[in-house]
Amino acid sequence: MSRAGISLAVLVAAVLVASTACGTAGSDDTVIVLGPWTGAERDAFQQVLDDFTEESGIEPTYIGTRGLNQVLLSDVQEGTPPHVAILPNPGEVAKYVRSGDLRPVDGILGQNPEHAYSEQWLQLQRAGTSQLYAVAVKADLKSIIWYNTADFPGAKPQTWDELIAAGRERAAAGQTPWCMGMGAPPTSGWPGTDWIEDILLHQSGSEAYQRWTAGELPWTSSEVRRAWTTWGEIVHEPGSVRGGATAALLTDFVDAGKPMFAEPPGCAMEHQASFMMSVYQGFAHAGGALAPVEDFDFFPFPGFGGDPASRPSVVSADLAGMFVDSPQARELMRYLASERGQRVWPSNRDASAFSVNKQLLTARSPEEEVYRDDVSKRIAETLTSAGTLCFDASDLMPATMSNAFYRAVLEYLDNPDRLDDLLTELERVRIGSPEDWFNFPCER
Amino acid sequence: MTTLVDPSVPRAGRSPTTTRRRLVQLRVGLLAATVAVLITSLSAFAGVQLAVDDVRTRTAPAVLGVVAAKAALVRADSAAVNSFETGQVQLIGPGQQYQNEIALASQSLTQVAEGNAAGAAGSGTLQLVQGLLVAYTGLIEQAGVHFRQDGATALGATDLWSASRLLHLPGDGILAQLDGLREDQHTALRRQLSTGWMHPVTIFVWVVPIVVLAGLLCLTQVFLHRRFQRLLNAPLLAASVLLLALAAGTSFALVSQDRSGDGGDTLNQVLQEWRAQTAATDASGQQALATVVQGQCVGIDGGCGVSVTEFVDKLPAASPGNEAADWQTIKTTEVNEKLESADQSGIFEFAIPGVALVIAALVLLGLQPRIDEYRYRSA
Repeated sequence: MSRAGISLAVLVAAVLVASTACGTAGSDDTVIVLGPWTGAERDAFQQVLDDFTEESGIEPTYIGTRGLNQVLLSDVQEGTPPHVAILPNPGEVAKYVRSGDLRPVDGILGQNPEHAYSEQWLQLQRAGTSQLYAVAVKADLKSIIWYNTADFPGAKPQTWDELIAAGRERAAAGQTPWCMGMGAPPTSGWPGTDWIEDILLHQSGSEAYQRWTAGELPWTSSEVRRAWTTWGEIVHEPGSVRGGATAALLTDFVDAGKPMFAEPPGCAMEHQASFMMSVYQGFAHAGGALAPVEDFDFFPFPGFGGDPASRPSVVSADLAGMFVDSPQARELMRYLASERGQRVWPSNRDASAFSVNKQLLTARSPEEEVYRDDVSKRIAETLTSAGTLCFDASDLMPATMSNAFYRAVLEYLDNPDRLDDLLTELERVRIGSPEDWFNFPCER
Repeated sequence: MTTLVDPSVPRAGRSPTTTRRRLVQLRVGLLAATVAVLITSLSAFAGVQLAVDDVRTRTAPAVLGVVAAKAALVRADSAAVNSFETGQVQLIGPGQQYQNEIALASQSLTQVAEGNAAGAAGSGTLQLVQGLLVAYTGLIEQAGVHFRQDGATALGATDLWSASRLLHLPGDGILAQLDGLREDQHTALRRQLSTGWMHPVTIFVWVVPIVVLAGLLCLTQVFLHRRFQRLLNAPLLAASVLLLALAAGTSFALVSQDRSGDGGDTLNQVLQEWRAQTAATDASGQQALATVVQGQCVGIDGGCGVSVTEFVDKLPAASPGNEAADWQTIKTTEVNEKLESADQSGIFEFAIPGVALVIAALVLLGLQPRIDEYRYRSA
């Protein structure tokens, strides 16, 4: 400290001694919330927190960072975690439950939690334990295929064969069937992993999917290999993907769907999660903003046989967990789990967010309706239904495995002849990562 | 005929008790004002010096560090892309300049971490940037491996493209994060230079007790003159002179404040010019990237897809960004020099209490004999 500092410190110390003698200690009633959302998503979540403040009088401070996992891990290791953090998947929840950093929040769902949440979401929020550790703030449905409503009239494909046939018909008519973009630095490739996951789930069933997710099914197994080659029927079919594999590699996932709404449309279908609704709504269009139903719609990921009504779906969710147990933090968790707390974000017309709380679908009046268009309603119904829901596999795998998976997708797109080498290398990574696998069953 | 009057004898018509009480009141008032002068002068001087010291050693280097890191990353990206474009990558990978600039960026980020004035948000952004930087260098290395193994390939171009996107993505990219971090650090610096004792108005708080003490000293002189017929009380006169010296010494805080303000202005100038240099270098690098990536594409829209097409359409015109390094050194030195000249923590921190102590002693010395006289008279 400089001499000026020392001089001032002496004075400050004298003032502090005096003020401490007659002062009282202040109470710590702040709630720090760490989350992954920035920009428009941050604004949308801030509306949730503002509503909480209106209800409780507590004013949480939100810190948003794209590097949430990194920042949270650092804070936890330094012993200064936030009161509440929004975790990107149940694997992260389970990790912090294992390490003892996450606090249970039993009792916040009330006497009859099954009235609000289906059994699979309750299990997910318990992170494989008997206690409640997390609350799903926002969820997404991944097993869907988007299309331009005007460009895709008539019956929609119900099976994989019908999907391939529909694509070939379009290609024969001179239109590229698929919009595709793998770009999402630094995790480019994940849109391709969503394809493999959906194909494996629908082709080999939820049991195989669960074993694969838990690190028990080898990458070199016939089920996994078949999923990759099945995807190859689309991505390596000449004229099937707009611009070919190189364009898919170089296109950002948020840009891939733009040609679908061009005049004439440059591609017809896109496999992406439900959050793409807000991306589409942001595209420039001659007739103004794109609207669900009128301009775009979706059909469920087709099956490989069996009853279409009982097909499973891949889902993802952001979950709130409490790291510091205080009455204010607990009150925030209770609010986030409540019908009121779950209602705010999905009610935001521009946000395209979905809740897993069933009560939001039972509106008492049209004014109370959260999901006002048919597209949103169908997504919300699938997310809250008693159907089989499987969590996004790459989100549950250890980070090393997920990154290798993303990378393998890019390599496969570039050169399908390398598939066997890639699967062998992926299998090597699986064997080399014996820990940090989570067994989250696909539930119904 | 002139009447001789003993100056030590008070004029008739006043009660000795009233005079003594007035003398004691003046003594208490003078001592209290001296303590107030000590506290405010020392606080003002130390407060200004502490703020200047903090700006000079932490916040200004942090702001400059963020800008230096951004400039180094832009130069690194440009150097790497040029290496791919010219084919040098086959032999030397992304190149020595790329390696040097990445090392420089890391050092600058360490400097930012040491002086971070943006609190938890600043630390969080730094962690994120450092994590993204690891991903960025990983992608460049992977691109280099692909180019060296198989020549120019789509996958190598994709890695190079992804790396550059990671750097340039609006909102979430490394450069955008650094812009946000620079703004946070700069806001903290502006706050440091304009609030507390650095506020142009607050600084005059220390003048008030000095004026009060000077007034009291004058009042006491006048009282003693009237009551005891003395022209001037020598110890109180000496106290007045010392008070003037103390005021002059403390006013150096104003000089520090002014110089640190100049340092802040120079820093703003540096940031603006640096931004222009960085943008010029970046434009050149991005043009080269477009050439490398488009070399891999065939088919619809050039076969590169929507993102590359939109990127090429929006490319700014390239202009030479030469001499950036030399210029940066000169200007940074100028900022440092101005802030160093504002940091004047010399003997004043010790002189101010010393002078105040002597003033208090002189007040006692000047008044005590008169008070003692009345003690005996009233007894």
